Amino acid sequence: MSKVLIVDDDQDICRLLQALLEDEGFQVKSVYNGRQALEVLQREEGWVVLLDLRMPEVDGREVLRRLHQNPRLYRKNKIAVMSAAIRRTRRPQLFLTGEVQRVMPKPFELEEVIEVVETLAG
Amino acid sequence: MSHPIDPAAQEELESLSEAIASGMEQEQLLTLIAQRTCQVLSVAEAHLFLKQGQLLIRKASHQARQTVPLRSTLALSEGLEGWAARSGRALALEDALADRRFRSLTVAPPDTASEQGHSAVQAAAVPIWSEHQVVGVLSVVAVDQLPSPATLASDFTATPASAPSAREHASIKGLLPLLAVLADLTALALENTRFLAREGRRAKLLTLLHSLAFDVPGKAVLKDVEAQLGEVMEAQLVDVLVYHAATDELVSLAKSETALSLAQRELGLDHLPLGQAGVLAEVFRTGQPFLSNDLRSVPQFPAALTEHLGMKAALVVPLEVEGQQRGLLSVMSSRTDAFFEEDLPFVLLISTRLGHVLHSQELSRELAGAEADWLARADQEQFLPLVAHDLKNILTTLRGNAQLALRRAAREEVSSPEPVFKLIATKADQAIQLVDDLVDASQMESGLFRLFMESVDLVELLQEEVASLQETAGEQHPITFHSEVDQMLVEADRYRLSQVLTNLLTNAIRYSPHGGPIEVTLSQVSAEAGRSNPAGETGEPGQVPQAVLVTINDQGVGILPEERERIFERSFRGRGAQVASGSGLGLYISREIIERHGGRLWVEPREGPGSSFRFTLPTSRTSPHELA
Repeated sequence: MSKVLIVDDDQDICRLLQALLEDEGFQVKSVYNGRQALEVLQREEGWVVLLDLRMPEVDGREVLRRLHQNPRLYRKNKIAVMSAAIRRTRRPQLFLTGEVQRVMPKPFELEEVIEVVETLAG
Repeated sequence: MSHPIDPAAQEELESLSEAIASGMEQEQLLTLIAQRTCQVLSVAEAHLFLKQGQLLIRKASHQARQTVPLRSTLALSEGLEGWAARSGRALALEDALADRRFRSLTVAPPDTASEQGHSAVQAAAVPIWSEHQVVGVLSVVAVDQLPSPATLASDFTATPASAPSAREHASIKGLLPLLAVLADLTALALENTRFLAREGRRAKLLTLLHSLAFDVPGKAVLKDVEAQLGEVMEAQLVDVLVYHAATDELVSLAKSETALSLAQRELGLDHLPLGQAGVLAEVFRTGQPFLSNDLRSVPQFPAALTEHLGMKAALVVPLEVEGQQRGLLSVMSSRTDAFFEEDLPFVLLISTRLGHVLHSQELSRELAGAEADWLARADQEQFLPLVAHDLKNILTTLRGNAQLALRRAAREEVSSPEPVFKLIATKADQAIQLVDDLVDASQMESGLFRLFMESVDLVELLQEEVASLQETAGEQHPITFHSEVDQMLVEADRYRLSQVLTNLLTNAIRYSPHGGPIEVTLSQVSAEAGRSNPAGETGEPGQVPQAVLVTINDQGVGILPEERERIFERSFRGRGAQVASGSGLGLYISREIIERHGGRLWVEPREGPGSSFRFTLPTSRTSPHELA
């Protein structure tokens, strides 16, 4: 698994993450909202998804909800959510609910991003 | 906005005031008032009390429904009547049976349970005012018959039209203004019945009393009262003067647009310096009313009012708001011999009522102000985190791009990467920290700051923090960690605790510009040494409550003795500030966090250079064994 899908309405963040991960040898695609993300995931599987929670219209939580309704989609991808609202201490709780594999709080360090993606890409 | 009285009630009240003016024994008069009160308001009972020392003496009662034995006196501490007398305010109980203040008057309480089933009982009491004092209370009881259980049962078979309908359930609050007018009439009846003898004024007087009887007066109430009082008193100029301490003046609140009022304003006579107010200043200072039917013979009366406005007679009474001398109510006439001694109690009563109106206006203004403050604050509290969120996103992008450039330079083995990238990354980092500190401090102030408690191994957390900070510290600042124990469980917010440790260790590095070792130690102490609140719990029997002490020693610039407490204040910057940069909020936030955990954070001097920061935390009661 070496494909990364970045989902964030902030295009500057997308560009930064894309450049960083491409430097590390990943194949990277960026989309700017939840609807586009679901389209990509339905077409292709095997993504490491970096999903922003706070987006206009279809937000990250809605994407997670729809993925859960389709267990196949959910199993074939690995998801890390990015959020400024989730503090590091809340990590265990989110793991326990089984919704996501990793939480990446914003603001993030570049090393942390690489570590998260490499772990999930396995 | 004026409040017209219902025509039927108006007629009843007029005939009552006529009866009062006709002159009769007080006892007879009060019985008449109680009886008419029942008629005017369509209530079951009316009771009239007069105040005597600490007692309310029941002077008259009228019971339309059935006659229940009643007590002849109430203490001021008893009943809704006592409440109204004590507070000087009207009180309405919409569910009187549920209120213990209601039953005080009856000698033997009737069978409440059976009564409750059949009727809804409401009660109200208003104070009777005279010369700015409460002299008595007028109270009423309204009973609405509800369908009895038997009637209810038959309702299922009867047609709706034939079913007995209960009386309309109007709230007794709606009766308060009329009840207040009746109390005012009682006050006038007690004082001087001759005042009501002048026939032409009775209807106008009732309208005036009614206008003043509303809890929340309309904006135009002053204008109404001025006009109506002018009519009742056949006076050309009615003025409410309020003392302004800032300018030492009596300032007119007059709003009426009569030619005289306009002239008064044009001539600037709506502002009277207290020093030039003569008799008016005297009334304000002493609280003694003033009456003169020939102002030319009173040299101390402000000449402007007599000369320019042609006033010949005046009746001036003090205006009190909540027992405080606030100004004057003056009634003036261009005729001589316009006023009588018997007018005094009436004008005083109007002044008392005006004081209540002004007070409730002040209250509603205060409330409006407080609400606006609160809204502004709530807005600000939500505004800051939102802006902080966006700002941090921007800074993250900025810092990330600078770091990306540095990574690329390193990858391409550029020997000296553009120094500006390092600078951007560092400065963006500081800005993110500053934004975080601002949000934390503001949430602590506003009470929105929260801790998320979990069981945390302090030894492990300290090891992690020391290792992470060692990377930034470099070889100049070797950080050592020593612990008495292998594991130390505390109930804490892991993220916030790590924030405190990062802050203290970063400070130790920052304020040691010449390097030197930094020692971190963990030890156990007694709870008394560690607790912020010595009056707290003492723990389970047989268990000695414990606390944990963390010490961070540096060999930096140290802290002046007089600054050892001040460094924990908001935005304090010490003498080391030149060598370091930060928001200045770090220690303030750290102390708040530790204290919210039930611990203490302080600084002690060291022998030799540097300082020793120490904090304690209560240890977790749960043993590691139980956790597993």
